[in-house]
Amino acid sequence: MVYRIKGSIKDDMNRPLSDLVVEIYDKDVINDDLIGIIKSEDGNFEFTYNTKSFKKGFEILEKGPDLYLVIKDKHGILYKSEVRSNASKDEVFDIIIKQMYEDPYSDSLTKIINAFSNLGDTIERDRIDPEKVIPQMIRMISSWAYYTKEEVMHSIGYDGPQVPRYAKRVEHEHKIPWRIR
Amino acid sequence: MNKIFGLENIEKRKEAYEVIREDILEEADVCVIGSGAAGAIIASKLARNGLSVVLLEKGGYYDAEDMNQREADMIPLLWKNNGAIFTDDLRIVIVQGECLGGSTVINDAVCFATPKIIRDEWRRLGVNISDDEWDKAIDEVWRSINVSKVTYEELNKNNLLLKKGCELKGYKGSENYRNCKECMQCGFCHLGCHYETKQDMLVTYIRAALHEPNARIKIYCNCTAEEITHSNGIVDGINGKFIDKLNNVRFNIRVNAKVVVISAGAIASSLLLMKNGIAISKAGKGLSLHPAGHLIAKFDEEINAHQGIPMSYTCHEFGVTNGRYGGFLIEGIFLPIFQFAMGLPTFLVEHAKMMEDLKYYAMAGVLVRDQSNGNIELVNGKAKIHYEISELDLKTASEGLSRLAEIWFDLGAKEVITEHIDMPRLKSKEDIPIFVDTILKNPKGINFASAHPQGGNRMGEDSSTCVVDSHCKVHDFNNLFVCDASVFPTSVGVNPQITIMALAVMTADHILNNWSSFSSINKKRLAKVCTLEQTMYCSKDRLEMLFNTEKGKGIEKIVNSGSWSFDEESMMIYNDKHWRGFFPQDASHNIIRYFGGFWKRFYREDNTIKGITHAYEPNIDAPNIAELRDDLILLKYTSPEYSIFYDLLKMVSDDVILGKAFIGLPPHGIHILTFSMCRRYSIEFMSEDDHETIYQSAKVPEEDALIGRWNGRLVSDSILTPVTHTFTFKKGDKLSMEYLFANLLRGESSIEITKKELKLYDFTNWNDEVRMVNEKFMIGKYCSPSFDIKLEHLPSFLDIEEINGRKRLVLRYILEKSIY
Repeated sequence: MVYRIKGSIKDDMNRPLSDLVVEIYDKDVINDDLIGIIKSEDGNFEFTYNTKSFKKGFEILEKGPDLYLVIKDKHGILYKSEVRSNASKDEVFDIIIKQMYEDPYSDSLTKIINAFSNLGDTIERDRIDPEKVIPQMIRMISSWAYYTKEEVMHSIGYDGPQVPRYAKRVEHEHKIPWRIR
Repeated sequence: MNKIFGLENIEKRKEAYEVIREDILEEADVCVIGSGAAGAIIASKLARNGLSVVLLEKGGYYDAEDMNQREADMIPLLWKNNGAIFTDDLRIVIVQGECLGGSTVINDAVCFATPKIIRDEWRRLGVNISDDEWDKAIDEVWRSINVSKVTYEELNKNNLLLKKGCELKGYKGSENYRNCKECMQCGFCHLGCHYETKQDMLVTYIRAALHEPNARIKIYCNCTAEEITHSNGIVDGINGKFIDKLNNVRFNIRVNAKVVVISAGAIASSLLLMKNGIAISKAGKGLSLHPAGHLIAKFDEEINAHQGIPMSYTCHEFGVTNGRYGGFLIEGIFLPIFQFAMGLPTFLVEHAKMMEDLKYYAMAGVLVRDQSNGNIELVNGKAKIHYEISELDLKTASEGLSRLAEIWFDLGAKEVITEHIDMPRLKSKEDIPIFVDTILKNPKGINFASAHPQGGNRMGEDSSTCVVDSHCKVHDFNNLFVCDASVFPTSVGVNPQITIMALAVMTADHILNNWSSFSSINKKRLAKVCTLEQTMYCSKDRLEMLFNTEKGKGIEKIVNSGSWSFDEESMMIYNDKHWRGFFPQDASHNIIRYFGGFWKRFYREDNTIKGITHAYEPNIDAPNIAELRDDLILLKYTSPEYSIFYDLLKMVSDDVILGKAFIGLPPHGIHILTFSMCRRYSIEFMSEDDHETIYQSAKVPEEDALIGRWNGRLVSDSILTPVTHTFTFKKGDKLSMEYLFANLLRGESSIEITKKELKLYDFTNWNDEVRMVNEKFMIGKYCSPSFDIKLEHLPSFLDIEEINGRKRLVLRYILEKSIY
């Protein structure tokens, strides 16, 4: 009997992903059998196989294969599908590979500490007037701590940012209230 | 494929983007370092005209929707060193961009064509650029970045006040030209443009190159160039590193290029030249900053200066734009709230009180066209910026501030707030002369800021005083260019972006028009990046990946011939006595890294291929037998004590084998180690035998060739020792040498150059014997006195040598000339 697997691989922005390795397995009690390997093209893949591919001599009890897919790129595994027990003749897998996105604004504090340690290497201690520098530092730290808070800005009449902090995650309009005079 | 690469994975990138997960080796026609006003234009123009370009940017790639108008997020993201770049006395803060697009992403988009008198002055100083050339380049830039004049309706109240003030005084002034299309007037220019209306490099030149189907450009972000490799005035590429936002080095990059252009910005470009010993005693000199002071005026009515375009009007009366050589511009400006808070002279309670009046403040700055009094010093690989404001510049600044104070009072300001520690407030016009006196008496009491560092790599035809010629090509180099504000011979007196961009256009055109003289340069280096030829630089994961994806090339060529050679030109050792083993760079056990080296040797006996696996520590020779299985080689250990091990080898090229070691029985063994073995490796991976052979044929160093700093690394059969010591040779009356061992023990050695070698004597009874391989590489031994005691067991990096029948202990090392 001829079995067929087809499907699509997209990222979470619905863009097709090509050149990924799709490995098709039959889950068994002891060792899972590799049924076949194909590559995705324009985000699609298709593979046909027959009963021999998954029924080894003593596996007479097995009806359809217990299918699962492993998707890899050149660096390793990106995705493992669920196992479909007793898979039918035609199985369709529509796979979305979610990316682990970083928060671009995290680690600001570490960056600031790094910045000060870099700065330390580039100053001439004898040329620095502590009476002037210390108030400046206090002003910098307190201003950073205080005036970067939106409630504080608003309380003194500063309009503050006009877009959401994570603008990419939220639908938002581009409107500037004071532009219409 | 045209793409941006980088370490960060941020959602919804506007441009095609790929996260880097391994070392990179690139071949390109041109490598451009820095993606700001100059670098982006050069890279884009060259890529769109048929050359392959690799563009490196130290900062990250962020598009408009990442720019969220919040200082706490944007300053660490877009500003170089978080905005914390200061002169060495902490008096002047210097703001530069560090992101794809450079400072053009965070500037106020103000555009001034290079003033006529500046072009004339630079020509007198040896810059061979005609007015026609300037005009043509500026015109091209002007169109490409959509420069237009601010309309009257676009002036906010702050800038309107300045306009009114200039008119009252009869001063010449005008609305600014800006590279902005349908500006939203949000006022957050310093934090990147969320609306993509600012026509910075990212949305103009860089985007144009990425989307041009015939262009060939690869942009690497989070990537810093460290080393410019060159010999005899010809540069062959760069070595760099990918550094993540927490300052960890993640991967290496090597770019082989026919032309290298440094556009890292003033300061950083000089620093890169200095680090590489290029233009010594010229680079880093003559820095100017455009020191800018500001005055804040408090009015009775609401100004809301933070609303609208911050910089839209300029008073030209006293500046280069009005034909004055020294002088200053008065420019309307307002800052986002944190930066504004930093500019108020008080702190704590009084500061908070002043901040409450935010809506009532107007602000303008005085940009001083300064002399070139700064210089850059290289300290621990970083730039120490020394800058003294000259008496003349201080007078200019105080004149500018007093004129501005007059304007504010004429317009009805209730008080004027200064940045001078001794006189933070002016109550009326009568205070102005006292304020000027205060500045001149205590110049250190006032703060200046700089957004326009310039100079350091002066342009001019005189190669004895200038770093680059009129085409931005570094003197005495065939194919190295520096193009950015660092080449300005004197300060330009206006916001510099258009001048930088015009120079970039001219430089790009020069490279294109003369490409035939660069295209034949074809020297390639592999550098220290992980590739299939250089598996010794690969991590465990990368080796694993190569093992899984590369096809094996059989077993025939695995047999060793016994030959050995060393190529001085490429500094590569070809060792076919055996296969030298290499552990992955990230092998977790230091024991393995420092003591556990190995080799395998293969030979043919009857019809089978047999081998020996030799470990240095402990000293073992284990016999093997090799069999081909598909494209893999199964290597069994035949003696009973090692028969629980086996290896799977894959010969991926004539000189490289990838391997995995297992414990157990094939095919069910437990994988314990991934490694590689090479016949050809660079000199730094030499074994103790290699060390001795090369030492024997090396030369006695000459005194002059020794001068400089040399980094020493111990040589052991197990490879991969870090830098353990440095030797610094100096020549005053006579040659002297200072050693630093383990960054701890410092001292001076006495020097003797014999017919055989250079001998160095420190305070112990051991001594160094050193010979030179070439001007960048020496090879040495640290030798004990001779003795007769029998030693049984030594750590692998300690060798025993027999001389005239007596034995001595020898610590072997190599010395590489430091680029610092």
